[in-house]
Amino acid sequence: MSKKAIAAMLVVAVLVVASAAVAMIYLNKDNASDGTTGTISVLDDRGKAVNLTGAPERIVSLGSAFTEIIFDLDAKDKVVAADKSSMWLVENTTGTENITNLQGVSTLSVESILALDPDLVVIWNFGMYSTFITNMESSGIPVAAFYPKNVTTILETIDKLGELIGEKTKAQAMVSDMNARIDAVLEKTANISESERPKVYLELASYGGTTVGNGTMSNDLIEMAGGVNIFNNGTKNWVASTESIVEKNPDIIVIEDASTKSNDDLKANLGSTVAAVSGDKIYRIDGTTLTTSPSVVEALENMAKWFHPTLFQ
Amino acid sequence: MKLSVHGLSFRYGSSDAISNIELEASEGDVIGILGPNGSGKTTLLKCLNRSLTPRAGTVMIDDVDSQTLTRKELATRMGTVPQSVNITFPFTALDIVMMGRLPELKRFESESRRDMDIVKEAMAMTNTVQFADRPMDQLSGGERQRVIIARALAQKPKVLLLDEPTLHLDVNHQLEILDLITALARKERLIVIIVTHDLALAARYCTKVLLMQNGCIQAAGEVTDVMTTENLRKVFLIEASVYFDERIGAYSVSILRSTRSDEPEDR
Amino acid sequence: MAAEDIAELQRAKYKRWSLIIVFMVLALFAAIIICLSIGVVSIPFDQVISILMGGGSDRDRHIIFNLRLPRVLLGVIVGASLAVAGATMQGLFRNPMASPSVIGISAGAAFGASLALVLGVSWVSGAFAIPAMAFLFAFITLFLVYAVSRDRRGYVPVETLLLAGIAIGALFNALVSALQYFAGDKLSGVVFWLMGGLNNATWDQILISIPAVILGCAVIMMLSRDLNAIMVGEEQAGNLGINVNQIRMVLLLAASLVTAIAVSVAGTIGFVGLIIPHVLRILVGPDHRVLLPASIIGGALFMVATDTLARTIIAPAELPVGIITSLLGAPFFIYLLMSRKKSMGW
Repeated sequence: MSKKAIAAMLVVAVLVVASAAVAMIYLNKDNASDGTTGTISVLDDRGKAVNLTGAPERIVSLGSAFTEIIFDLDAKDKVVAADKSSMWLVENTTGTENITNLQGVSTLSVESILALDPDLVVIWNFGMYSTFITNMESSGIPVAAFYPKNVTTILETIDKLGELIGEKTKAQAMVSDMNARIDAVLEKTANISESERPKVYLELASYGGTTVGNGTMSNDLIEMAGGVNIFNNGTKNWVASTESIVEKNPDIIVIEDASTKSNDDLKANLGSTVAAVSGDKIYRIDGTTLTTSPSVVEALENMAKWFHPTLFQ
Repeated sequence: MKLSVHGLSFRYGSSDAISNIELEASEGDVIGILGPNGSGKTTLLKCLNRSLTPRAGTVMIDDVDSQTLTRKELATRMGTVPQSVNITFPFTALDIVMMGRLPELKRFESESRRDMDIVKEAMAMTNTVQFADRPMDQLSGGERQRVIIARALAQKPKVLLLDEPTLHLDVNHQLEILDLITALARKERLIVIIVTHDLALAARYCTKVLLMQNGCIQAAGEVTDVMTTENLRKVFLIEASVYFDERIGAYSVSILRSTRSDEPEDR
Repeated sequence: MAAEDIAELQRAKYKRWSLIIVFMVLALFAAIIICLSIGVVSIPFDQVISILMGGGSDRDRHIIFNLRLPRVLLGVIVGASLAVAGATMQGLFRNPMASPSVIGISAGAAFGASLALVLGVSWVSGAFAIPAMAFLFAFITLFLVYAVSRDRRGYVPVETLLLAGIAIGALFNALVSALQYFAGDKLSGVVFWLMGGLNNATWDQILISIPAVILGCAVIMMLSRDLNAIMVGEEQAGNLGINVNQIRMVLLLAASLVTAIAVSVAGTIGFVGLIIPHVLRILVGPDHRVLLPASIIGGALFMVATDTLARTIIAPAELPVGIITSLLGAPFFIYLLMSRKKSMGW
């Protein structure tokens, strides 16, 4: 092989190694600290103390649940940017024209976040974001990571996030209010016996129609609303076959409104042997209320009304 | 310098493609391996240059068993010119001939003065110097063939193998190539082995002929001894005879007819 | 053309190659500096130079050295790896459609990374675990493809290798889809990862990648002459003393190594391995002694440029870089299919 090729190869290798070496020298500065001790300190779901010197004025929200909480706490003016999943809320709220759409969280780089000059970034505590979160913190950006999975943890998140954005009082009030509404439902439904609970089939819009199993939040909502999920013998989400639905014979069907299936489609597919079809008890629910966000209480209340109209109006 | 082949056999599936091949050759010999399609000629060639591993038999080059040689060592003793080379990438003729020096170059070694001289000589001998910077896909069939021969010569082999060298060439190119090869055999003291089914070629240019049928040698020796009317009838199913043509100072073949017309109709 | 001119021809060729490579290296260097000064946070060019010399504000220094520089360098590494792997595959398989993904190793690597995410490996060992799993599965794939396509004598025919690669690649792609279906949340971002991105480049990734990539590229370039001969014809290469089977395996291993690294740090970025070698083959010719180094540098240049585009075009949001390379690559691929001129050699 020609000497020139070897030489060229060495040049490239030297270039790369040299750049790395130079950078390593600069890397050995201190990493930026997590923020000075300040007036607000909250433990996020990583167990890490997020310390802020004051209520944040420039929040970046990377999750629709968090955006919803912040908006509900009347702090929408403090949000400077949000991720793609939050945009449905941003676009449907007035006075939010200046919020930048950051698209998907996995495509973001730290520099993009830095350019927004935020004083708080709120993000889902997913394993696959861990590098991103670490990188942001090394650049001196305060990050709070939460992972609400069910009704209980969403209330905790509202509490913590509320305190973090300086709205501790409002948040606590909101949580109490939500707890009250939940209790109002629970006190009537907690003692309903198995036989008096309507059998419920819940269908989400994804993958052409998935249902929920034990351990999911939607399953919990059904139980709390006084129903019983016909598929609570399964776990997580899957697409249920028409046969299995017919066999279980639900009394009530709750379908995500965004689904392309119309109620008539459902009826035609399942047939009139199914109680929900013959009784015309098919209800459409707003999918955004079935997420781990404050509006989950709405979902609970709606379901309670549908399952037990006599107990709730 | 000599080449000795003993008991060479090769098997593809359950039966031998070639069996028990014997061959003796010395420098200056132009040996024709002659036979119809399917007689095992190309298989024999591939066993000689170790593209295929025979199941039995030896190939000795100057009393060295070729099996004991490394691939590279074998390539410095034996060069192969395949049937038709389909080089469609724009490598130049020089690029191709230079590849003939690969067997002798070590991993990081560049071509030396001596290597370049050998390449120059090979190209001069084959009259391909003027194509040196022309891409192969722009050359004619005959010109390409000469470049490949130059590559084989650049290996400085003792044995040159050619597989149907005239198959796709125009008649004038055919004569050109064969004149070149036979002259080289003489001048460079090579052993040349040509696999062919072209009777006229074999008769005119070969000093020895090996007649093959169904993987076995039917006859071996001088042209007049091997290419008898009898043998040609048996192997090629034709009525033909070899005669000496004064005008070319070599043997030629006159082919009368196919013997298939002698067969009964209901075959 | 006299016989004496032949040596001169050779020298001229080598000189031309050296000039090309030197020019490309300088262009790459320039591109790196330029791309360092482009970004969402505006830092003027003269500031960038002063930062590189040791000055500048803390914040700007942090952005250049800890955010942009690793990203640009990772682009160099990933672009170079994919391009050299593509050139190698195209030469080995003598197929212009060949690319690093052709023997299924990028699908295997993607599966490894997805598996790591699902098993929650990422927050146990940090940046290293995902690349390590991707890497491991790239090699499992290579091993499977080889095992499936070898015949009794241990020889691996090229056509079978290609087919086995496609089949096993399809298998791993299916497994990734299955993982996505069952794992839900944990893999919600994996689709974007599979589109490819350099947006979370860290110095760790660079330090992990550099030795392996340099090794892989070095091995491949060392075998340039052999690859030339193999490309002319396998049997002919064998008659020139080359152990084709062995060389092929070594080249495949090296190409897989660099591809696995690239996929494990940046996801599957399409078309780089396909386009760059083709473009360079048209510009510098088919001889691998110049084509391989040129592909390495050209791939690096292309990746750095497209990534810079990806992070500025909808700023502050970012496009997955795979979208840009596909948008550029797919039409080019179609053009290749339709033209297939003889002079390109296929």
